[in-house]
Amino acid sequence: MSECNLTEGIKGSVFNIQRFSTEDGPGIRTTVFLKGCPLRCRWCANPESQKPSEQLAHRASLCVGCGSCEAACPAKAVRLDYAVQKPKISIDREKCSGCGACAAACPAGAMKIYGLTMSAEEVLAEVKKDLHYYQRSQGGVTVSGGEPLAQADFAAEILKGCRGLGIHTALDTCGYAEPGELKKVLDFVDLLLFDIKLFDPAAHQRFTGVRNELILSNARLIAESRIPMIVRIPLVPGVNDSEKNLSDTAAFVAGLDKKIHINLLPYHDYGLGKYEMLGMDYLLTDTKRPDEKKMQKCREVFERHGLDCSVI
Amino acid sequence: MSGATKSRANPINSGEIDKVNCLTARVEGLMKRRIEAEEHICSERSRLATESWKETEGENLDIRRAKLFRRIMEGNPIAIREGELIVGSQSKYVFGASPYVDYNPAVAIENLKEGATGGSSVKVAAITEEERKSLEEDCRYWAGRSTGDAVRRLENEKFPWLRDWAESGLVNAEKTGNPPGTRNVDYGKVVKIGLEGVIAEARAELDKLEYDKHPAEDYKKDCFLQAVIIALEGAITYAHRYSKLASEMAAGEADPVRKMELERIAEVCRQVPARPARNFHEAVQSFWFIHLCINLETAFLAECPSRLDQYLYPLYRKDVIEEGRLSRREAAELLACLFVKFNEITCVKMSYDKKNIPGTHLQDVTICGVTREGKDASNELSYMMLEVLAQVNFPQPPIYVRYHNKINPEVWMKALEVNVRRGDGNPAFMNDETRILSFVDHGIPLEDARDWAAAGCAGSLVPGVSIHGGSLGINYINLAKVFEYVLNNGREPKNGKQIGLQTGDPRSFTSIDQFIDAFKRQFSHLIGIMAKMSHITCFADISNYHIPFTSALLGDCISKGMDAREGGVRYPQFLYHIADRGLQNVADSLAAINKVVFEEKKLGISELLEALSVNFEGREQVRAMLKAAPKYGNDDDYADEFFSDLSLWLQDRIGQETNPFGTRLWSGRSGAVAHVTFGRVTGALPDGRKAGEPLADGFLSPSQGMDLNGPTAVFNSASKVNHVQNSTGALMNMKFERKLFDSKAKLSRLAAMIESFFQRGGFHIQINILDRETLEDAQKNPERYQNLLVRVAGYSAFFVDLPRNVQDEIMARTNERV
Repeated sequence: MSECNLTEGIKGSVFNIQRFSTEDGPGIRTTVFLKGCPLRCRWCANPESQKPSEQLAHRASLCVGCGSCEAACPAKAVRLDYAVQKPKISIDREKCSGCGACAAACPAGAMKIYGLTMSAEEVLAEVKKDLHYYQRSQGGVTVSGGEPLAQADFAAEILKGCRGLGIHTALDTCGYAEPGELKKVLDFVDLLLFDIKLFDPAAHQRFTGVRNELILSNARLIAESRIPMIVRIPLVPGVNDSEKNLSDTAAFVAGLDKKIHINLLPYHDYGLGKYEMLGMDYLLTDTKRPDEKKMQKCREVFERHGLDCSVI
Repeated sequence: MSGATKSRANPINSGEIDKVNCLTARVEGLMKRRIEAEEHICSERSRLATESWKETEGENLDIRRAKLFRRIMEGNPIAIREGELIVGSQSKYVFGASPYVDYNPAVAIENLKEGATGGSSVKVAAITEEERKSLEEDCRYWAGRSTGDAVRRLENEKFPWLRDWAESGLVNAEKTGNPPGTRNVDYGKVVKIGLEGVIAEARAELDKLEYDKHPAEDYKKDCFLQAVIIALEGAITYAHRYSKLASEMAAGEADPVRKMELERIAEVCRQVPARPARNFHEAVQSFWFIHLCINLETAFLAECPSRLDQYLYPLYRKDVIEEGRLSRREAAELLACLFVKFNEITCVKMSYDKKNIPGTHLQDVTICGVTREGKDASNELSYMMLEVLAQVNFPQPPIYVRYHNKINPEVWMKALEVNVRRGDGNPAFMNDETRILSFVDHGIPLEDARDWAAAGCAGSLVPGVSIHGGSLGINYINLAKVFEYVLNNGREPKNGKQIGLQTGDPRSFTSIDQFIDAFKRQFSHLIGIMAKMSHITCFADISNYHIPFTSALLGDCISKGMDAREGGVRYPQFLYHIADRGLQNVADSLAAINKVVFEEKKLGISELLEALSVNFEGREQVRAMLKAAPKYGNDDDYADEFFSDLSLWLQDRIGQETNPFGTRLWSGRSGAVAHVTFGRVTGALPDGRKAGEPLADGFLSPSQGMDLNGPTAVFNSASKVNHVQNSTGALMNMKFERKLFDSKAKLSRLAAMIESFFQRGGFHIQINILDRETLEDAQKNPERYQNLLVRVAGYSAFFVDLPRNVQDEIMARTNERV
């Protein structure tokens, strides 16, 4: 489209583009996941999103044990062993540069590189495939992460391009970014999905690796900008499900604007398999998915503060 | 409310209907009785037919068939059961049928064998010793005399090689044993003018015969019209037997409420179907009698009510909306009684059909769409049928909703809501615009095209003036097998027999175009033979087996004076079509060869053939490469173009042949789960599919587990096909988790997806709501899941009734977004 005037040459790292995304804003959406995040939330369900650099994942279920990966690796980081008839691939993560030679050689698609450098035009080409569905369902595009503001220029290019195509845009952010970075995208965003994971700054640091003062001040900035916002809270038992934390968060949000909607996302461990594929350690053991009764109770805390709250 | 809706053509009081509970104690009793009923094979229809046939030896075929039908009407056991308002039972059992020995005793013989499963599904049907003896005696009489025997004799004489074709799995020669075809008769005409009105039409045609110019032809017409009158009078007799029984029961009934009901039933059955229905109750009963009579004359698996919400509507509107003499609850209860009844219809099937179309009949009800004038036809009755379908959560009837741009949005959203509530793909959705365009493109006048309805497994036709031939003749062709012949220079790899054309040694091929060309030549060769063969076998079937009662209710049989199967219907072109199956696997195979062999040069053709011949044993690396190649269903033109180009080419090529009635042969892309039976006999393919695994399902669904970009990508891939050219429709199945659509807001996403697909020409879509855990648990503990419904291919069945491999296959289909 002529009106989208994209800045030449801005590229970014994308780890997934998910079509028919139904949990990241209204209607049928495509969610563009940008790689790299300043937070290290212990419950993170997308471990592949954390590091900004390329990361190799091994999907053992697809592996045929042919050894093409071992032969292809220039850094000698991949080794194939046979343990009880089943092929076992070991990856030396120190040596692996994420160059992708093994993935290119793997006939089975068992070696996958997370993190693809793409231009905004390339992302838009993918996004455009489902224009029909956005129009019919009042859906659109959500830029998520990782933390999209860690690549604010790239995120802004994508969002601007979507605007040019008349597509509704949403930004899904943890809010941890310099206000200047946030301001780069705000002009092109129709809806913010904004995480407030924990209210107490020290607890926030303990469970996510960073304090939250910056996040809360960004929340104020967005509220002042009048862009519609949904505050999203992943509800993790033993981490942020205390009455006090929820009540403090609710009071803060209600103080910003009572029209802000709250989404509660019950904790799940569906991402566990990905930790294994990436050779990463999962930091939150023995945590169970909260049941409906618990979610209902948490929801009531927000409703007591006069906020609309739903469990998704 | 009424003030606001007065100006609307078809007012809909949705709020009232949403509140209606049709599961009254009566309806729950009917449902419980049906669930607990054991399936029976019974002998009465068979015995009556046999007796009549013996007595009429030497008479004209039409007359003989009419007398046979009349005898069934006079003698088949009747029953009015506790609580019934709509009456009429197929046999003396709640759930039982008699095999159609007069068409093909082989079905009964197979079902009577020691250890045979019997009945309609894989469950064992009960039979008494007495009935077994009676059926065995009938079978001995019909052996050598039946239509099935005549067709087999001809096939053996003319096409001795057909056995090789059948064994190889190239065609569906292991055939159905029941009188083929879907029958969508003009039920509405009977509701409106009664059978006496139809008899009057036949008499008027008889009076026109003068025998001066075409005496031979006129004599044929004379016999046919006499036959029609005999058959219709038979059906009136049948209803009057019910009226009499109801009166007798009423006389002996102590409960005053039931006594009144029985008196009403007696009155209703005296009126209909002989004379026009005067109220909604009579309209429903009139329909049901006709439906039952069709099944008792002869049935395949697909006697379709068609546009039930249209022809019952005038009396619904009069009773419920205009005069208020019937409450919405009462109307819904009558519908619920009818819907339970649909589930009491059964059919004794051959093992081929049990494997391919297990479970129940395909009694397709079509709702909404446009009128013959092009206006929105959806009405309050359409809306109520959807609600009743949700409450009476039984497999039958499968409802097809005709979507169009002007459809009443309340009815449309209701259809989606019920789809998600039931979760079994019922109702399914069809696109009016594509079908109407397609029929007009195939030479059907616009007004008739607008009247189309679903038939069989997601097929379509013009109801009341056409019937499908179903499996008349050999009509399914396995495209994956055709591709196997390309890979083996026309030989069947299992036994080395030269069945196909020698299209060249693929080792010598240097481009993908050579593979495509070889496939086209291979297909052309085989389709030519199939078409010729069908002309002969179709007429062996048609000329031996007439259906005067059904014909009487199909235009223009009476005015032409000709049986429906002989071509008396207005559009005989529907009687025979070729169903080409497995194109997804062919397209994926071409994409894989192009990518891995010609582009990346990672694999030689010899190595490929070698890997296929050993079913990838020890060649996992080769298989992995092939599987990683682009696949149809991912919105990737690389594979999608092979699919859409060949789809169009196949339609054109099939259209170059003629059907037995001399018109352009049609391709049918709807239809049963042939992908399981065809898959079982098809070897390993270059798309990475192993020998024996099912082919891709339907005509448009991607290969199992190969669609990785979600449903919008699948829809986009399927939209690249020219749907207008698909003469009867192309089947598309999808499966979602319920939670994707469990609120009104989320439901609009489903609407958006379907509307977008239809906007770009897609024709059919059926959405199943299921999760894998449920199915796995159901497989382990069937007793806990007696009510679990799944949509197999254009219809629903109880999951626990399905053969294990079909269960496995349903589970393997991608569960979108797990």
